[in-house]
Amino acid sequence: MKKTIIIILIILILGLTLGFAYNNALLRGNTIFILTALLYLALFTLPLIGAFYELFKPQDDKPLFINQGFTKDPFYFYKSFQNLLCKNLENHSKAFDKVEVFLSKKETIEIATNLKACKKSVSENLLWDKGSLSTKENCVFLKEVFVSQNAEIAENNTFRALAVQGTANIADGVHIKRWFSSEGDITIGKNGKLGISLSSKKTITLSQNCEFKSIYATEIITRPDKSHGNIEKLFSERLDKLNLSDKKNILDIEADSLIQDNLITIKNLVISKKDIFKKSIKGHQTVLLKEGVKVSGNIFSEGDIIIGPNCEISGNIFAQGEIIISRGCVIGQKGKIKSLIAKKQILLDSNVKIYGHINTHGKGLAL
Amino acid sequence: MVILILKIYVWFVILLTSVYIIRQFVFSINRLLGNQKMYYQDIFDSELPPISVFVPMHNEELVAKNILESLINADYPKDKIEIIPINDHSTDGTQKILDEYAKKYTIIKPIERNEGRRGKPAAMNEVLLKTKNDIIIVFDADYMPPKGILRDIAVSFTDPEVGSVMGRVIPENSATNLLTRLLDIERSGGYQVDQQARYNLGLVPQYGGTVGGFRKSYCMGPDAKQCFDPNILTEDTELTLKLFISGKKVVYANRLECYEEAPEDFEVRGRQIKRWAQGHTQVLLGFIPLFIKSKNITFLTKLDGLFLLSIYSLPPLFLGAIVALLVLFFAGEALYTLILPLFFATIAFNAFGNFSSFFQIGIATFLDGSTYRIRILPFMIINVFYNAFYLSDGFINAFANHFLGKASVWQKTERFRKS
Repeated sequence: MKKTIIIILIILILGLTLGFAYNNALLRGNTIFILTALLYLALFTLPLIGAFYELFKPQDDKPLFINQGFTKDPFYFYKSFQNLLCKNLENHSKAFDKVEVFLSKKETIEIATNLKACKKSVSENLLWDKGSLSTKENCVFLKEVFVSQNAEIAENNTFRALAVQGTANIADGVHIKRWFSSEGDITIGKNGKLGISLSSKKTITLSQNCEFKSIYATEIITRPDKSHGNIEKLFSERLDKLNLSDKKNILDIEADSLIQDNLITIKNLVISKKDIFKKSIKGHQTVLLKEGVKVSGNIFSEGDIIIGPNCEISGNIFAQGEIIISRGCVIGQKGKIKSLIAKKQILLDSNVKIYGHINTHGKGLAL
Repeated sequence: MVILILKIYVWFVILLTSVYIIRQFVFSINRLLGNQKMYYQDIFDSELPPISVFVPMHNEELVAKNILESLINADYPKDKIEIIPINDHSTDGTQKILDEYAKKYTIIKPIERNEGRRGKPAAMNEVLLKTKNDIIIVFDADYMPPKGILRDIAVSFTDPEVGSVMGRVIPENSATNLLTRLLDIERSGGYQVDQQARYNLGLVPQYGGTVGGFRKSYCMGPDAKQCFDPNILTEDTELTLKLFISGKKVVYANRLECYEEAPEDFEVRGRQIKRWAQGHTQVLLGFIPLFIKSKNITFLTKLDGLFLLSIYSLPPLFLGAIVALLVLFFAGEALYTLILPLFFATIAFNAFGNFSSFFQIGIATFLDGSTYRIRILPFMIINVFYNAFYLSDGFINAFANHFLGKASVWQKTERFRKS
């Protein structure tokens, strides 16, 4: 069948092209027509050489890969690393050792118990601390680290990846290049760079100027430090930009309103002080909530979402632009997992509480 | 006079095809270089909605077990899911398989239909009246849903504007023969580039009736007796239009990938696309006035919807233009027969093949990281010419049935799976 179609196709192309060329050449008495037709024929048939080659000697005919078993898991890296250690060091009992294992390539796992890393030390191997890990300033861990109990990390340490079974106290200026996961509480100092994934089964506390991409925890808190006013300034700027007098492009909800149904608008949406929404909100442009607004559902926007101080949002917040959350806001509800997702960036003020998940393709920052 | 009309007709077809090329070109550039809109798959929500998963089946004994196994193993809370295989007038062993699974798993609740009108829209209408859940997820029986896909489809309905969601279809039997290889790259272009670009640009991404879902309450009101017109052969396109007219949205999720079984036989494929052309045109005839009048849709979205629904007019126009050119040739208009076939072939080569222009396919395979499958692209001309006849047949049939008031007949796509 395949060959028959191909042969018919070739005969058709050759026949038609040469037929037209011959007829027109005769009619016009001009060789330019023949040359044009031949050029066309050559241009038309050249790509078929590669096509025939791929058809008869296929190099790329398998279906595109789909991971049929894939499900989202914020602790995926942690579990994978833990499984890897279990698989390779199942019967290991020594407190200190070095073991060579073959992972994707030959690797050395350093085994220690209650390791106290010296100032500016550099670890080049995978590390498994069977007890608690504590470090001094400026240590560098070039490979993944697994800690079976707690971790006390000093200032300006750098980790490729860190897994902690207990609690983790991280001082200022720590840089995580890939991921950091813990079964206990995590406290992060100022100016931390938190890699692509940070997760905890309990609480994560972020200090000022921490950068992140994705955070997952039952409770995420930004420290209730004195606000530096950065978010207030941004909030005012965004509100001014909206030009409230332009009624054609603004939907302005009066203060103290109670909205029972979903609200969907193609305009910029400004929600005034202490409004209460029983369901969800969807805006095609900027959605701005002033102080003390309560939303029982979700907030979605094709643009930005800017949330003023002391708002309570029980559902998810999702923006194709940026999300700014002011001081005192609570996102989600205790005991539930909800998400705060923005494509461009997420800025969190001090004293913000989120129950669940934060994710951005751009930059996340606790101001 | 006739010669002049034929010349005008040929130029009209060239112009129309060129407009479609520009549209495809804009989509391709957007997908390659433009701002890509996020889908909702990153949302974690511990309060997932209760869902009903519909699997319409007609003589599906070759594939029934596979899809049921996949759905049972799906990562979704078991107290929030019901799987409803709809056995629609099967005459093979489908019902026996469904009964076995229903005995083993309480979440599988098969429904057997042996009376009433056959076809996916009629079958779904009947079951929609019986289910209480608002979120309906649909898979055709030959699909193999990955473990996490139900969760990722369901979270999109946390957005109150979303009426429907559509995932990406990937043929699992791409290596079988030339046809499946062509369908594989055609699907890549259609989903990876075309659907994603339409989603990015706020136009009309299309619900495809499988690997996706919809909200029952947006499809049928509380007192309505049906969601789909049983006479329309593409209930997915009908739903897409109805949602847009009512101000709701269809979202496309490129990362929600699912294997399907692509037709392995040209004749089976021909019948499949004939049904698509007929159904699409039925929707064009039935809904376009409402779509154009709707105040919930922007001008650009209306324009895109018009192009989308009119796409199956291209093959009959294309075939007509070939005839016109032949007439012009015999009428002594030799210049037309020399210049225009070249021009016309280039345009036709780029313009249609079930929405996937060749430019789109090239970009799609690049984005998919495929290396050598792009080499097969020149053979797509086989599909273009072969499809043209079936698509024209479907398009003309739709018009004939519409004006003669005839009912359309649902034709099932045969399965090829061995085990």
